[in-house]
Amino acid sequence: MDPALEFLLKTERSLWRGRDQYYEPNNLPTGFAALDKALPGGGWSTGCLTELLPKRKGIGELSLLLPALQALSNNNEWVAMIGPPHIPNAPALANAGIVLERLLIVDTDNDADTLWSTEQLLRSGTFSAVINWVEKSSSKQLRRLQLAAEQSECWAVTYRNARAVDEHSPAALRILLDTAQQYHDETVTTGLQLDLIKVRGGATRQVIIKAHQFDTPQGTEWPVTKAGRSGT
Amino acid sequence: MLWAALYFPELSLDMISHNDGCSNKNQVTDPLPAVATCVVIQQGAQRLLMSCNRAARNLGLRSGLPLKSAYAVCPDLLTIEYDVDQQQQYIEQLSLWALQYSSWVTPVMPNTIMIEIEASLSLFGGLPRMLTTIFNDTRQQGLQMQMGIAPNPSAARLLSQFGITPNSENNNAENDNAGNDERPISDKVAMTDSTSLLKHLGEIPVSCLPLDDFTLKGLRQSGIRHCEQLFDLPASSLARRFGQSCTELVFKLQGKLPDPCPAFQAPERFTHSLDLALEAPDSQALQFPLNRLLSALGGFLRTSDLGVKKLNIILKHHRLPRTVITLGFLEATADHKHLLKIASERLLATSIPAPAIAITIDAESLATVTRNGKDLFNKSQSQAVSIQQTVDLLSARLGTDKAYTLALQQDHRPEKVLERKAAKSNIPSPKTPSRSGDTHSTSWPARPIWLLQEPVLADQSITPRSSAERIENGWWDTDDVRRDYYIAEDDTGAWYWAFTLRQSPDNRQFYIHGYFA
Repeated sequence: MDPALEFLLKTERSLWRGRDQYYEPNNLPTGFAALDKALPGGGWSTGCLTELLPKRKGIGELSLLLPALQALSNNNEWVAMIGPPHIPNAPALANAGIVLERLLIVDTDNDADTLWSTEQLLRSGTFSAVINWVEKSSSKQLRRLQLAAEQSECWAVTYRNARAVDEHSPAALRILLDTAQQYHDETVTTGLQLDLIKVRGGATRQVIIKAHQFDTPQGTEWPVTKAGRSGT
Repeated sequence: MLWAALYFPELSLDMISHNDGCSNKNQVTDPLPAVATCVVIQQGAQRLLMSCNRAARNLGLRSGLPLKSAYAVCPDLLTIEYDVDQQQQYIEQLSLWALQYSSWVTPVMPNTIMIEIEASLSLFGGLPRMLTTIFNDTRQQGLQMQMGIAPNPSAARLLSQFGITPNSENNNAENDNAGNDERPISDKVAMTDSTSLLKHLGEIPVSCLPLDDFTLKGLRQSGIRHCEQLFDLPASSLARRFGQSCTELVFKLQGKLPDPCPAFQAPERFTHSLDLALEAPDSQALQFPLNRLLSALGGFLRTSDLGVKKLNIILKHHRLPRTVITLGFLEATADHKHLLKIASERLLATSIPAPAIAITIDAESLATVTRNGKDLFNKSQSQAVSIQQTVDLLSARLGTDKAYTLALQQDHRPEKVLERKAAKSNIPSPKTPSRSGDTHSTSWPARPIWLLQEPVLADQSITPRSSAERIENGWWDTDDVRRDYYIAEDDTGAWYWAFTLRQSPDNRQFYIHGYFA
């Protein structure tokens, strides 16, 4: 960079780089080097809402969060899942090294209850990470969650249907999730493709997490050998 | 010893009102409903008004007025029958509440509570602060109260009835924007040493003394107007002329004669109810009586050093079966604010079939409270309390067993391996935090994160990619499972946990049982 510019940035207090504004040194490492690099602050940012939009089930959409959840729960921090679409399978979570006693599951009957519970947990200040699943949520409801997350410095994640990709959202980070297929010679390796469609304080880009990178957070060998795999 | 006498002049009126007196704290709101209400007592053949609320007083009604005349003034007057048993219950309920200030509380019928406060002074941070606490607590419950403090119970009682109204004093102090300046109240109310007490008692008219009419008449005829004159009389002539009871009273007031007050014993189980003067149509209107009952429960729990694990709120309706709302708590709690929060949340979520005419709370299972010493450096310790409170709050709205943690069972059948457990606050921290993958104690082969409630027949074509994992278990009970599990992939690249039934090996139909999310 131009030394004159550098000098100005150091001396003038009214000048700063847009990216630095959102730099949080205490962000949660995602456990995936490529993703850490793409996110401002080098990890999942706490104190704001992260929105994940998986295009289909079974592509590794939850495995993406496992390393961070593992780190939190082992640090004696509380983690909550609200309104999961299916039964969270304890053996898989235990394999991933998550302390089950530190993971609170909340079953809800409808979206209103899910959003209410999420807000309560965010505001309680007891939880370090709160993840929820909603069928439909308005921008106003998400804004409430975003505000609650800001207040409690909590890592809030919401899973929404990928159809909501064009809707306006107050979330600080929005990621569209899909399978990625790469062709090497004759074998097909699959992975998880992350389209960062909104990154506050960063640039939108595409990140691909290769299938084998999920092995470590999963804690088990993937028994599939011949073809590739996309996340467990 | 130092006695505080709390005198509730309008107890029966205050107790039935369910208008929230603490809604605006800065001014003394009349805690009674705007409807003219009176307490009626049967005296001989006549029914007389015993006390009236402000709305009734504004209409010109006074206590002592016959009910018939009162109806002439105000046809839609709301009347409450004076009931000794009811009064007894009220005063006991207040005694329970007062037990949080001292272990020595004596209820005196019909409407006074004696509290021995000297032993509690340092706990509450001195006399002025303690008095302010008591005033504020009574005001929050919407009760009118007068207080007297003296070294002996009789004098304290007399002072309280003589009408020193600390409430107004307290407000003056607040209006002067001197919230910390609590001196005026304590100076005015509290007679902590016997010289100032005697001086103060001396000014009280004799007619206020709790003596029978005959003695009072005799005193009046002898030209004795104030207590000072009474105190100056020699004891022997006092006894000769006015009888034993008068002499005893004078000696007790002066502290020359012991004045025993039996300490109130809290009952083992807590059940209290309130009759509502106006029907409460919704849960919002029930907030105030609920608050009052729960404060009494809080005082009761604190003194008995117990916590409540299960609480029933029973609403009585007119000609309809009662509504019973049961609150369960994760751990025994004695925190009145927490109880109120949970109960309100639950009441709001419950639909009430008809207006309630009475509310009862019944603390069923009492248990000792586990109090965690707070560790300054350990965050999880201070979290411990709030996690239960958060879970209680969720269960109040969503229903019990909706918030839980998972645990592993020793069973290989996927449906049986999960166990739901109530979230526990104080778990031992993990022994060796495993940070890298290879230190995980891997006891399970690859398992999907999402497990379906019921396996579904796969309607899309899926291709098994792994070798079969046979799960064969449970032949001894009804859920016999004989399946070959595969990790399978479909065309779009999504991964499933699917199985075929071993009972029908020819029919290779896949059932999906989970997603590798």
